Amino acid sequence: MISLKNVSKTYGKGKTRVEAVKNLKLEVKKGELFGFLGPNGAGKTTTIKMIVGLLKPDNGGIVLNNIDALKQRIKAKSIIGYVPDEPLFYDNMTGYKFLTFIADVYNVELSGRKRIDELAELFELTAALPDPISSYSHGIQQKTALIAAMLHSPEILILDEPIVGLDPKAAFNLKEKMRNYCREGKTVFFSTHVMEVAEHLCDRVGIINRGELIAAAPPGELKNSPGKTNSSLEQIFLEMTNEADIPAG
Amino acid sequence: MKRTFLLVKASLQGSALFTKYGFRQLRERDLLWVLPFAVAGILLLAGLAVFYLLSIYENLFYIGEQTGHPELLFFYAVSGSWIFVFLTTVPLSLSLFYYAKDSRFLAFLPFSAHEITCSRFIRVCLPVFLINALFLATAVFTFARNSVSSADLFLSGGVHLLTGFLFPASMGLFFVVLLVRIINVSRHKTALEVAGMFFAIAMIIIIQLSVTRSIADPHAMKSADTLSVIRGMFEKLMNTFFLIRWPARSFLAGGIPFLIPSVLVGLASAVLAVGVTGFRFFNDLGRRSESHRTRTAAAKSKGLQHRTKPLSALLKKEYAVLFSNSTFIFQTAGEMLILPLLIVIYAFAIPKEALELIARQLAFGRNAGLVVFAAVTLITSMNSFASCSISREGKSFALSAVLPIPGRTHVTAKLLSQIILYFPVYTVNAVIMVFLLQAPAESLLYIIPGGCLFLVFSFFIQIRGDLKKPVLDWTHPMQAVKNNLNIVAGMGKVFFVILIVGTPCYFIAAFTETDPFFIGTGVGVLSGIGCLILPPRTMRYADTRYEEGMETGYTDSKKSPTR
Repeated sequence: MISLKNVSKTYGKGKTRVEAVKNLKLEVKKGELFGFLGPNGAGKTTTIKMIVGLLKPDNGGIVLNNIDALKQRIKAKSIIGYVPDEPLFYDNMTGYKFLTFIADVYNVELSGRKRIDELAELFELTAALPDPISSYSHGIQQKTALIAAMLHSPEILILDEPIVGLDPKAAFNLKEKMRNYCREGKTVFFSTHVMEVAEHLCDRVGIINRGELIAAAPPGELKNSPGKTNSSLEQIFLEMTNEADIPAG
Repeated sequence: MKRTFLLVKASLQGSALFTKYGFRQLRERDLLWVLPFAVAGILLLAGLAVFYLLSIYENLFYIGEQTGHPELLFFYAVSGSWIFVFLTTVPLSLSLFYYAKDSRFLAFLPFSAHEITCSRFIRVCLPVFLINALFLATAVFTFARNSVSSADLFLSGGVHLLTGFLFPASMGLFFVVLLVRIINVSRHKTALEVAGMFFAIAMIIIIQLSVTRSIADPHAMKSADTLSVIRGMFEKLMNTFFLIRWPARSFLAGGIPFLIPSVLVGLASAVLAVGVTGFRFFNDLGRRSESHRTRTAAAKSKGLQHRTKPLSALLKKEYAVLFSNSTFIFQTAGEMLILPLLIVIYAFAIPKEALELIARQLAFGRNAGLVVFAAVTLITSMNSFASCSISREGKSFALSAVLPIPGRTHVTAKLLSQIILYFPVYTVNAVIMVFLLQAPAESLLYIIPGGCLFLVFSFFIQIRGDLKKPVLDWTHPMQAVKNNLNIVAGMGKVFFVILIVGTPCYFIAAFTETDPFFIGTGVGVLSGIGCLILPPRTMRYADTRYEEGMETGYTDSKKSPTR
């Protein structure tokens, strides 16, 4: 379960001050697959970075599976698997060394490490793992980051633009994996720009614009909201974000 | 050709500091103040190089006169220029031709491979032109100052200034192309850089030693035997390296016939190098990204059979970061080995009599042990290892910050990595210095434990600055280790502590009859007390900073954030 209570985050001071996230209230239930949508610069990555502990909110609270993520940070981090928007690695490690490192720091049992090979086969990565990560293409780096995030079977999976750079087969496998994760009672929170993925995959979607959450509902409910019958999620998204851009008055 | 120069211009604008774009970037980051320092540093370095070269050339000129080979000076100047141009071209070409981020981008634009390689070669030639100019202009100046100068001297000087670097630069490029086609440079990038830098340093030391040991007194007439040996050696060299003989002779009166072939060789080699590089340039670029296909999955389950504790895993990570690029390796290796290196170089470079004289001057009597303690502690603890240990991680620090590991475990791993590297170095340095300064052997009983404790203490002094404000959004590793104010501040703090502790110790040792062993042990105890007080506070601070994620990627508040 992910619970964000009036979370705000500001960057810069004076004239350069930017309110990246404003009083964000959001609940993602256990076992839910939640898609987080928004235009570029809307506050998606900032929100995700606050959830995973890379940024400290200016105010508000974050609770992950009944753990106060701002007070018990280490405990909260141990139940999260995170794939950042730009894959992060120690470049001169080989794929195997990096994944073994992740398994070691998350205290993954020897039996659980078989998942490295299973996931590598699923994403067709086995041949690349003995090589240094610096020699990987973006897609292969993304696959490695996905395996690293899933390796310790986290209760909450947080993925920032996970589909970007994946080949169609890997993207399909990832979507299946995300669905299976939620069937096991785990939570998946991911951001995306691909509306079709959000529409067909997510139990619920949240739309953020200019740091404010402007909608959070199942895709079907958004599509059938008054006056928007038979619209696609893409059309609704564009309408909502455009409306929000028009100044009041 | 116009399109080629367009590429050169774009490449310069995107990478060089002294451009309009570079100035604007500095202004935006409030860093314009670094410019005068940068210019002063470059001028100082150039001034030192000119001074060094002039003194060597002066000696070579007289030897050339005495052996009847006035071209000896130019032979040396051209050889030196070629060696340095070649050594500079290799890493530059690797970086500009095969590692530049825009290479793939350019491959999609309507530029031919030869236009790209030609523009890159011109980029390579810009810095090596300056190296060549430094060697040749100082040689021409020395020759003109000491003898009757001819028009041929200045004509050749001008032509070689503009073209003299083409041959060695082309050879450097050929070497790189060969390297790229023989081995997987992507996989062995760091090893190659380190090997190249070691080779360059070894060459510099060899040149320096050969010059200082072979030429003692330039103006004194050398014995007939010595001159005959030098003449014989030089004539052999001239016959073997005729490509250097041609430009060397072209500087002398009547040497114009040698000028034409030497210039033609330079131009032809440049055309050939650019042609060969461009011939399979896109193929070579493509090969780099396919490197992972070359290995089988034989190593598939290697490493999955055993489990290590998080601290051990973090320790391995520390070394993975340290060995991730040649800049970090050289910075650390240089700081660790500075004392033994200096001793070895001076042992070779300084005549035996002078060394004995220095040893007599440095007789510290009963306080020799304390002097060794102070010197070795100062040299070994004034390092940048701790004060940029978080900065070294760069953007991948975010990975450390999301791991469910407390900050104190990260810092402990960093401390252990320093202990493993620096304790043996400190011990070896102490033993060497005790031997050289003839200090009592029993002084090692306080020097080694006291110094090691101080190293731990200084680690905590230095890492605090990097915990507070790490430099994480660097694009080149040099920014993390050279342009990092945490290092200067860390070294300053350690020096201050040594000064505070060392000053009273000096007065007690110099003006009282206190046993040096007692003073040394006292300093060791003080270091131990420091190790009890400082680490718990730093560890608590580290926990907080890691838990907060150090606001990764947003350290610069003036930079527009990506939301």
